[in-house]
Amino acid sequence: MKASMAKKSGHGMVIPGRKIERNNLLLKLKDGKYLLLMVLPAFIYYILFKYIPMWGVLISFQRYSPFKGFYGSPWVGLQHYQIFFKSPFWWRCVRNTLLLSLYSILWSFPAPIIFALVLNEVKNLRFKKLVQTVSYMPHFLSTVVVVGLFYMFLSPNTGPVQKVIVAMGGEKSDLFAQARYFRTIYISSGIWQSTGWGAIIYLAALSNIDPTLYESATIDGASKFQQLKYITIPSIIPTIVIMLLLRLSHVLGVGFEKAFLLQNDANHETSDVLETFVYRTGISGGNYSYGTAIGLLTSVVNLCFLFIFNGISRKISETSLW
Amino acid sequence: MKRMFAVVVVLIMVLSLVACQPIGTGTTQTTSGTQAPTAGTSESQAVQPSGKIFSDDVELRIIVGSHASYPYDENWKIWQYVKEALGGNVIIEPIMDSWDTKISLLMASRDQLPDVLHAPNKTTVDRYALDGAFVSIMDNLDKLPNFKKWMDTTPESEAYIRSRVSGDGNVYHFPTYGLHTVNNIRTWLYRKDIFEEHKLEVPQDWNELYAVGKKLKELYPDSYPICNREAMNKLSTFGPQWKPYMQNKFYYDFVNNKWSYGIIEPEFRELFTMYKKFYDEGLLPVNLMTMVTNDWRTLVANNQGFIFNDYLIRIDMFQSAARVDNPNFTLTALEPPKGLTPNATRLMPKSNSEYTGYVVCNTGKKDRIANAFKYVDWFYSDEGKEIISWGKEGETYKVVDGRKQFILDEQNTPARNLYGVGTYGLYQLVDVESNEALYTDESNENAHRIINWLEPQFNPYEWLSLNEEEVLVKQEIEVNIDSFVNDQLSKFFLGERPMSEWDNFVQEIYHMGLEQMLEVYEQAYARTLK
Repeated sequence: MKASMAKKSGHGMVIPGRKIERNNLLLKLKDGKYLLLMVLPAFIYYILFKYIPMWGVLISFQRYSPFKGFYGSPWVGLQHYQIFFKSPFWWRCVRNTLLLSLYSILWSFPAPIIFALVLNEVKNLRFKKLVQTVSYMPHFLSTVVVVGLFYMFLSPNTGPVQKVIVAMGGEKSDLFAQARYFRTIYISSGIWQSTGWGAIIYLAALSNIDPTLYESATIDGASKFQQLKYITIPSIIPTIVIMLLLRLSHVLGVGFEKAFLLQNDANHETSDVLETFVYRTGISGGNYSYGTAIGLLTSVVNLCFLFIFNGISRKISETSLW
Repeated sequence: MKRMFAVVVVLIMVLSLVACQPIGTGTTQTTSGTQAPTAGTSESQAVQPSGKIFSDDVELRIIVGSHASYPYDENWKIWQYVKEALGGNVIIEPIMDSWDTKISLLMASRDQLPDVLHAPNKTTVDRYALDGAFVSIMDNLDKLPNFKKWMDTTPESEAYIRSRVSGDGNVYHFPTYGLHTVNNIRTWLYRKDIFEEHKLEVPQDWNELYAVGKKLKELYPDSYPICNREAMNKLSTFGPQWKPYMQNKFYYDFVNNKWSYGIIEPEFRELFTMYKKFYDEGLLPVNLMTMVTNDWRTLVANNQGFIFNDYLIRIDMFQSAARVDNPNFTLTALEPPKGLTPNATRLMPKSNSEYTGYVVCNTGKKDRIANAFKYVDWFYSDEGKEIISWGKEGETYKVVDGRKQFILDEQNTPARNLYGVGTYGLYQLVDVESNEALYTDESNENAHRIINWLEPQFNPYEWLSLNEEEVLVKQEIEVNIDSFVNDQLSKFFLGERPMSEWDNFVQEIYHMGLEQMLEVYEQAYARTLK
């Protein structure tokens, strides 16, 4: 086995003798051809599905009509961007998106971490497995189903939650029509659905901690809490930071489905986010250029956020995406 | 070395960009929506030796909508007869839900266009006609012998066609004729049996409506006596009861001969205040703003709602299910109660549900377009009319005492759901009797009463077409006004904004460019009347 490997890399070993330092790209390519071959599908995927569609963002500077085609549609410069910023709703959309994102991070981001830490302390393996399995089940439900469930539970006519409220002396009310409950429903259903699944990655990180660290800490007389503070948490900090960075990279992308499904005229004040706005005006309204313009704007802002937070993280914690 | 790698990557990207230009960029094959494709005309009237319209190698893609109450079923006999008569390979592609979104996605690329589209409303046609998505009817009359015959022999055809004109002055949307649209109209309905049981008077005006609602609430504390759904949409149906022709959107005031926007009318404020009072006192469902249809159905079926405004066809829908347990269950149309303003009426807006019909898509291929016209023309032929109205004798209908009747199954499934009669794509020229045969006699009797409660004129907003510049103004102004108004009405309704701010609210609408939008409608309307 070792011999064959040496033989294969033998090729590389000749290189220094050949005295090619500058133009060895071809050789390097040849050297790693199998590895490159493995990367190829992903590479093609990115070119085909991520880079080529970028071409399409140009229609945000046109008055695009599918029948005139890309070359036939007239250019209108920044008109669609101006319409957006002139619209009375742009600030509301941005505000709603940012707040929803911020609150989501604040409430739903720590949930799987805490859950993983708690689960990690459970000594009964069977029970632990059971809890874990049950907790990540909701992840496999589609958003439509989750929203449907919440509708049924909270319905003023048939929902059990309202019955409890009435039994406790409260009054029936339509929770979905009240703007102030939108974020609560949105985020709490999110926590219910994703905590178990999100904990998997932290549990994996936890299982990687060297048990001898705990042993020596116990010998030194560290309490459970001290162990948590000085061993467990520092060990999973890199994972947390990476996850947080990835999450922050789409601060303006709260996910279209759920906001759309929970939305109605009565709660637009808090539920109208950029993506639903793009949908209403761009797709439902058949105004493709306008939708694209707002979409592009969102992506640019997201990219900026990613750069900023990554920079900050690199400075203060030495963990970063690049 | 790094530089060379970068060069290679850039080259690959550029090459792939060139190779994969966006669809629809070809300029050579563009046929303007208004021009008539010339080839294929000679054979357009020829009938195949087999007696069918198309030869075996012809393939046609037809897109039709699907109604939630009678969803498309590929086994429907009527469609099978249509396919048999036409020959060729006619492929029906139903769009089961989210019509606007799916059409919008479809229209984003010419390559995906079907040959023929059955548009359930004129909005769909108008939106894409200006882009050149469809082919003009009047420029292709030579391919439409049956349609032309209908035009020449039907006196009302001119009015029907005028209401189908799109923003560029062309007609793309084939008119539907012979449909008994009253069955699709929204009307006030009430539970006659409950009213008789408690000896309640049928309300004549909105004050009496309120009073009877309160009474019912006392009798059935768990109920929502005035059990409407669809949030604020219903205000449109109530509009004329407070001011002639008033709607909760843009409308043409035939009394004062000018365009207006319902929300700014003082009469609308009174209607809205009254409706809010209904809600605040528990006469309307507590979740009116978000209630889904199923929730609403449960309420009505369980004696938790007694008066409501909905489609007339709800009579058959509820009664057939409810009478199994409660044979007395009776829903009857209620003459619209008079509003509380000086110029109140007891009328309802005229329905717009006639605005369905086929459009031929501009696929850019002459033979495909010629075949598409042949397809639609067949629906105006005697054979076509007979098949889509009734099907085949002995299979889908029988003649009893000289009157045609649909043959139903043991469960009494309505002919619509059973055979597909009168569903999207299957009415163009219809035998009125066939349409009436779809409903119970009880429902038809109500329909005949309701005809007298309709305003004489359609709101031109439903059919008025705007040109390209006007559409731009609409996109900039009306879209924003609509969103704003919907949000604010909900706030007023739920008490999140006090009614004392209503005047400010009206001013805010003006500030959003209402005058300019009204001008657009005046201008477009004047153009159509010429």
